Amino acid sequence: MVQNTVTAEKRLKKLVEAGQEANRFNWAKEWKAQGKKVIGLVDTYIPEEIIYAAGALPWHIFGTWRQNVPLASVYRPPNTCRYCAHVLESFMSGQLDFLDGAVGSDWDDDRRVLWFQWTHLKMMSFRYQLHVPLKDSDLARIQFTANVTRLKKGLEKFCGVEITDQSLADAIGVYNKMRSLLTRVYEMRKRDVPPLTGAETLGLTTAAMVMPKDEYIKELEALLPYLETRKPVITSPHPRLLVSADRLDNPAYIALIEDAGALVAMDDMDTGSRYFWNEVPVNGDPIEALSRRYLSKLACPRMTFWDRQVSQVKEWVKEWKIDGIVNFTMSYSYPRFFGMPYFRDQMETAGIPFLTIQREYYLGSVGQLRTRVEAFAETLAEDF
Amino acid sequence: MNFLEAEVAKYERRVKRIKENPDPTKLKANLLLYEMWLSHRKKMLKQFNEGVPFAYLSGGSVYNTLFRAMGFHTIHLPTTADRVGSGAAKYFDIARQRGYPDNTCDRIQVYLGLTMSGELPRPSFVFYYGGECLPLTYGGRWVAEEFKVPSYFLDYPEEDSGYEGFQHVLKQYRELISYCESEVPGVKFDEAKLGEYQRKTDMNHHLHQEIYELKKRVPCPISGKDALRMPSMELCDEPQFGEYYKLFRDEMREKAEKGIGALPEEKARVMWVVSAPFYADPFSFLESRGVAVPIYDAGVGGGERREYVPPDDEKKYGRRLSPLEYLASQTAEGAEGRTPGSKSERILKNCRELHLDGVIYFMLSGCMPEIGCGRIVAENLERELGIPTLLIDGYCLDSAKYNQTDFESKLDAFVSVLLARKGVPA
Repeated sequence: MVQNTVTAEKRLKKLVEAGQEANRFNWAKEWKAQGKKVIGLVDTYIPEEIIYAAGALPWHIFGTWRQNVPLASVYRPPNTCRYCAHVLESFMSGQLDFLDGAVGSDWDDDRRVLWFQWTHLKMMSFRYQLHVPLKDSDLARIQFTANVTRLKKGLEKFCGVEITDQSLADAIGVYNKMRSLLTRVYEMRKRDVPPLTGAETLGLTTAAMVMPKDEYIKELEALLPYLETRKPVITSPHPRLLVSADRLDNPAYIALIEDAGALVAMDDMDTGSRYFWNEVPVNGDPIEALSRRYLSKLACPRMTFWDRQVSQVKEWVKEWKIDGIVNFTMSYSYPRFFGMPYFRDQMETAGIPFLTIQREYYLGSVGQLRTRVEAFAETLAEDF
Repeated sequence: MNFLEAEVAKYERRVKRIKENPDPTKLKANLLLYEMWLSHRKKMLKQFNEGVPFAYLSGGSVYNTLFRAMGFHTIHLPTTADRVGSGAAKYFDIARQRGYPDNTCDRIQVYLGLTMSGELPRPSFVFYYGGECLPLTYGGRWVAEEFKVPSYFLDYPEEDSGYEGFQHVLKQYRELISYCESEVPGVKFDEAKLGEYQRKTDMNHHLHQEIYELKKRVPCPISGKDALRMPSMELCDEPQFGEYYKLFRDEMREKAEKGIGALPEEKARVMWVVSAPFYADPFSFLESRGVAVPIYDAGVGGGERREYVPPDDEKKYGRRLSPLEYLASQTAEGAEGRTPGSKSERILKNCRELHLDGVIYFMLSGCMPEIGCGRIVAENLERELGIPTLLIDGYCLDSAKYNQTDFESKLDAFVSVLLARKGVPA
């Protein structure tokens, strides 16, 4: 437990900033220096407990936050997913040379292509493409379990270890612990004045995606009692917003909203709630349990059961007393674009104010973004 | 005039024009193709006026056969969109006003607009799948939502999942059939009918192979426009469906034997890949510069995508498969051919066998699986065969974004490169 406020703030700051571009590699490089492997991941549908159980560090791949991606542009025209372009740039510039391998997925067509580009460019000695069904049915779960089993075998071969049921159960235990701690943090966000800003919270969740889990758990657990009483600097506690986005890892986006006079009190992001929500059942076959959790976890626009995503967001709006939703679509990332009319219609029907803003992966067009968010916040503020 | 009325008028016009003034450089089989479309569209128009519902298929032309074997009338949405021609703008507007992305594949935008326009027969069922691209998947998902009708999503298996992938698809087909039979009145699966379609397709397969072989001939016996043709499986119930390929093959063979080419002088030959601007004619421009286009990767005689297994084969699974099992095996094997690696290999094979001098890779805007592979294919072709690739951006249907001068100047520059590499005077 952290006793001193200054010390606690210092530790919190370090944790919140662990996912920043300048810091996110540190943990992985330290890990690597110990002679252990680091395996990258491109989305939150990949059961990373298996990588943990293989003794490697599961490390979520984010791209450079720089605006220009000249190396990646050779393979990725400007009209392709910007997250993938920035990730490829990081690979090609040597920023991710420390990765021993990576597990790709078919989250969308572009991420599938990203994997092919790694292959073509002969990047890393271990590359695995995991197929994640777009639906959640009995047959899809059976298939996904088979796919995850193949991934496990591939990792065993690459890491030269046997991934036993016990090691998987241990990994699940660690991850569930992380999930329960973050759930407690999110519960605190229900308060009228939460202990963390939205930007800080995003820093906290992205830290979990790049730090060794045991280390992360130790830090967060130590900080939780302090967070219970923390009084953060919040520009305005109203209106309370929920941000919905994919691969949004830069807290500056959230800070921009909060600087415009709103509070981001909840999120529907794969770098936020969707990363850790829902624990893995500890009974039964661990691979089946993992497959079930990952396929059935909180819906994102990528999945075809849009109704579940909408129901979940509506529930959050109620529980976290949300006044409006900011929906960030990322340029040329289609899943969110296609689901958007449905999402918007459903929110309108439910009387939930809804603002869609198209963004780049890097933080760009700041003035324009700020103006739109300010206008939205002002509209909502009229109700207070 | 609605879409179907416009279609009928278009094909009547084309049939009349060919009958009165045939173009000797184009295949006579085109007349048969247009006659089949005319007959098909007339039937559809009648059904539309009578309020007959259809199954909407978002991708996978082969699913016309599965759904017709269940007793559905079918509309294959992407290829329907391909036919709107100069009328696309209206459908873009409808889709965009509804909030759909204007930067995705234009075929999907048009088909969304078309379904919302009320100009197509209403759906009783929507089928969509994960076999091609996500816009097709989400397009189907959205149409099902818009019309509030039962729908089914088919999950494609992981590449290299073998027998397990086959079983996964087969179980889904059984689930789909059972769902359709319980949800849509009058639906009953007739597996023997599916078998009949497969026998027809098998016969056509052999003709495709012969056509592919004939494409090796220099000069090329067909024009680029004819190489681009690919009759939709929507026409599979037309009595002359098989006849078309026979006629296509016979004409090519006759021209090849006589040494007649589509061009007066063939200086170079290229492959056209992905798609093309359907509102323009880049092939005539290429031909005017002495460049033949014998092959389009998805057209008639486009070459084998994977090892072909006929419906009566007993070797692969140790017994002859039922028609539904055969469809599942084809689907599972189809999942193997979706990687840029396999695409690249196929294009390399085509280039080698057809003695091609280059590739024109149409970077269809919004088609992520294809545009993401363009550079990879180009590098592989240069490395393995030393031949150049033109990566050219474009849209299939959005003619408002097309600039003929710009497009043709890029083709022109590429032709100059091709000829210079061959040492042939321009």
